[in-house]
Amino acid sequence: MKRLLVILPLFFLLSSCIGKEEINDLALVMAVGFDKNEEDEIVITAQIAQPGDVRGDAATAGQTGSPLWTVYAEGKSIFEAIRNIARFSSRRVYWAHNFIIVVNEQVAKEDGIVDVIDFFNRNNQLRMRTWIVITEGEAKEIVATQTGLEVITGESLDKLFRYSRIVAEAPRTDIMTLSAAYMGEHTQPYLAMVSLKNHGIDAEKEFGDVPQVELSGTAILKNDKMVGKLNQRGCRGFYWFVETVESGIIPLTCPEEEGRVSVELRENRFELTPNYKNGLVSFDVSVDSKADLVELGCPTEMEHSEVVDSLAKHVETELKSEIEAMLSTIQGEFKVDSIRLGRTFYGKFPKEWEGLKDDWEDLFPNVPINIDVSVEINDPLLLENPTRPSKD
Amino acid sequence: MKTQLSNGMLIALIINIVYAKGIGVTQGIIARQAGGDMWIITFLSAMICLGFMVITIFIIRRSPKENMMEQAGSMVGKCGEKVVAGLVFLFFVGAFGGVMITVVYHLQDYFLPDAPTILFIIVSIVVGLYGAYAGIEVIARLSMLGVFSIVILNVLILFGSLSYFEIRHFLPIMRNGVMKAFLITEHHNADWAMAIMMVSILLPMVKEQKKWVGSGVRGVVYGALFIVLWPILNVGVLSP
Repeated sequence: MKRLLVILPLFFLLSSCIGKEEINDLALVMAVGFDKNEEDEIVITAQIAQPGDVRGDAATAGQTGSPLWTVYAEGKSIFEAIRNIARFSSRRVYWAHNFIIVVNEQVAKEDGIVDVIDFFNRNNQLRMRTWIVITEGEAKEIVATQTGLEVITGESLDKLFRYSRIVAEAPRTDIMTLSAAYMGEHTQPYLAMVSLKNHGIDAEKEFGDVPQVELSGTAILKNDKMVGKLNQRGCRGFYWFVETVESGIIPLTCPEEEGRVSVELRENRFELTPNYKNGLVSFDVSVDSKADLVELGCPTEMEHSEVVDSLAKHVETELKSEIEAMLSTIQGEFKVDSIRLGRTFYGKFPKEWEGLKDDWEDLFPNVPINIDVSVEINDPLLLENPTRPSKD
Repeated sequence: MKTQLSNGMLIALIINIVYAKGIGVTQGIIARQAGGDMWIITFLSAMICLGFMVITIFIIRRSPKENMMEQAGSMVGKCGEKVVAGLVFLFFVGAFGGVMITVVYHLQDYFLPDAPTILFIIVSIVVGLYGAYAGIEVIARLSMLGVFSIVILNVLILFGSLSYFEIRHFLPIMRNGVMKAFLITEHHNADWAMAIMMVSILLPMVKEQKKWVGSGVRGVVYGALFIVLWPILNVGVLSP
């Protein structure tokens, strides 16, 4: 019995030492990029953080003073490329804190991303809620660029996605949603796109634009290969089908005179209803929005109630045209059901779907979709008249 | 002094014996066969087993001082008692295998991927042996602690999943037909069988005989609620 009492605690005490990781021995990857080189090899770029220096303890003994170390390595497979980082990294590459995976558009188009999905699904260090995006340029540029307010690029990009619902212009895509869409029987994946644009200003430089990473559309994939991308306008139409639209800005022109008007969507309801009549499939899309007038750049003589009535019609037309533009691209050009029409139809008509699912790829481009948009702009009761000079 | 369990301990034991495998390997198998109907099947299975639990308690209550094996002995003699005891032993050896697969692989995959499998097996067996050495009262007390852990785990998983939850993933309901749904319940029925068999052995030790049925029913209902949350979140978030 005494032996058992001695041995039993040892199991618990010793087991905690197995698989232990000391932070000083780890190269904590914050962002990773996938490109291809001229030899058709995979190029992996990893942005690695040094915790002591990120914290601002540059003077601490043993620290280099630079919070980030961005490196790349090549290989015939993802795993080989990662192993090749280990050939020069003084620490063990550790993926558990990775914020984002950036894939080059060319890689997504030509080779597909099934190896990326598979690798990160198998890797027990990686979290399934890691963001994954596609970029037109080189992924290594996105990974290496200092963007946003955070010290670490990966963290800036993470926050960019966390708060991207406010602008509703790129879907929030992570490994989990990508894997679910890729492996799903009735779904096709899509990914957010990012690009570098000169938005930052460096006051110390004479000429000053500093590139920043911005959301720049949606990549549409068929199985694991990218077939095309939606522009900003198409993205806004796409967002209704795949995400919850919390907010959105609709820029318009003034009703009767020159000037700009901005309307902010505040409360939104989206409904997609499948129909099946006489062997024909169709869908009804219904959008109900309550909006606020946030900018009226024309000193109009009209009263506010007249202005908002007139603008509501404009917003309805604009929203409808955004959805139509997206549908025209998705159905007419890409012919890929990324907006889950088949999955929605299956939800309501499972028996009928059995007869249609094999032909869905051919049916999808010609499926009629009726769009009904209703917008109500809040009339600011205490602000009776638009801002205009009293001199006139 | 004869070992005695409170009715609360019985409820906790029922929840604990079903929960680990019920949310683990079982859900994976059901998801592969039933897809989005997995939550209905989990619920159906619990309801079927609720009936069996009540029947079992009524049977044991006929001779409340004897467990299933002792009752077999009273009916058909010592030889019959040994046969039933042997069958119960074989059943729990098989059940132990299923539970160990769930516990070992989940702990290894999610918490200590570099640790050798044998470590998890040894630690689990040692903990089980310690329970057997200390007696059923100690196991029952620890199972009350286990219920708190289960509640905390469920609350955490709920908060972590709600923002990804979509009702449309649940459609169509009963996509595989009612008959197939009933057939697939066999996987989770096997989990509940552990609880029913355990109750048939432990019931004579439980204090308040009048509350046996109530405790058994509450154990199944609470256990079912804790377990069914997992397939609901699974479907709502992942749409299998």
